[in-house]
Amino acid sequence: MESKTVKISELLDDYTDNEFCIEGETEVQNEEIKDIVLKNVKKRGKPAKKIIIAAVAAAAALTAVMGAAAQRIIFTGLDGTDHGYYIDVNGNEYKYHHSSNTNMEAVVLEENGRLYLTADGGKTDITDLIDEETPYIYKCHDQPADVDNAENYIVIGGTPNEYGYDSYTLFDGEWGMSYAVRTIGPNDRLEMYDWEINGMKQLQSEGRLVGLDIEQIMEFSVNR
Amino acid sequence: MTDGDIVNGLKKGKTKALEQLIDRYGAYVSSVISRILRGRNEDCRELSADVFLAVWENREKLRAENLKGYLGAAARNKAFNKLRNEREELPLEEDMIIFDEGEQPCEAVERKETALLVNRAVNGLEPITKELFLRHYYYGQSVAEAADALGLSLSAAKTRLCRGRQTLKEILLKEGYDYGEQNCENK
Repeated sequence: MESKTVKISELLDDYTDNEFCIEGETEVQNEEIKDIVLKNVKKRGKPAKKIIIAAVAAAAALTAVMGAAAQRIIFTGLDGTDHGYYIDVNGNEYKYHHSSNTNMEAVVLEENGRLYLTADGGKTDITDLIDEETPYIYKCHDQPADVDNAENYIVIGGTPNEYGYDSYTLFDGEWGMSYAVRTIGPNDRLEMYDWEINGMKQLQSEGRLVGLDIEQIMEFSVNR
Repeated sequence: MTDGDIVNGLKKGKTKALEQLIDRYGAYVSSVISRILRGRNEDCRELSADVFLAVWENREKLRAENLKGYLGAAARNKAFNKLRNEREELPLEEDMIIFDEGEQPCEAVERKETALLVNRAVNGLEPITKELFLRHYYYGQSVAEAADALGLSLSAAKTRLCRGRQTLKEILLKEGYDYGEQNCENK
């Protein structure tokens, strides 16, 4: 005869004890629980999308590869925030600054699970054109505020849950400046995303980002 | 402020709602854990926080119905896992109800929500048997420990537990408990 068993201890998961559980019989205070919980919540960040300026692996890597002399560059991004970094003579050290009110939505916007390119004041649904590996490359009509005679390209990639963009300002096809803004989950990463690398490769194949060693950039971004 | 209000706040990502949840149920959760761990305030504090962190992480799936029961189950789960990780055995006496083929739930009875039915079934036990039952199966106390707390001999406690299991099964079947939909093991 076939029989079925139900574990009583598991069955009681559906029981609520309002009788024998004496609240307050432990020394643990609610405020202590709150302290631990809220610290952890802040530390982990919200699981939902969170926008930050990444450590800009691409910018640092590009700088290192170009072997620039000591210099200081500050420029205003398409989103209106100030960015800057310092490079030593070896091209290995830098600092990166950004304002805290970065407006990601000036470039890309997530709405109801769809991603929209919003640069130049437009709103184009690019959700199906990009993924973790496939970038969407857009040539901006608006020039960076403090740069003349330059072309600005935005490389967007990822998914509605984790997306971002890199921006390249090119002079006659050669790299001039770069920065990246990304969305991240609880764990940030320093490595470049596949869509970023593929975006660089695509720009190179079109005759832009001239003289760039992408392999070296990738290595730098992982090891820095 | 209802449980529904708190759950809605949590779903919107408001940490204030999380604080309100802890204000309301923190003492309950820590008491359940404390009972199972027999004190151990440091572990109790840490596991209680873990329960509410898990609620926060899974807040999108949270439901306002039976929120206290849900937190109690989560607290038991954390505490029992802690004991298991410490290789502490949880020798529960005959931790099962066996439903034989043909012992179907009463067809005439409308199916009830499992939580409501289980609560009603446990509350239908004779008071001393109910306390013994909960001390042992809900809080993981050994039969000897629970018997001692209730002033019963070991054999009398075991007899009561056996009778309690049978009564619980009868009430569950009478009330329309559909064990086929639960996590059952075929034997």
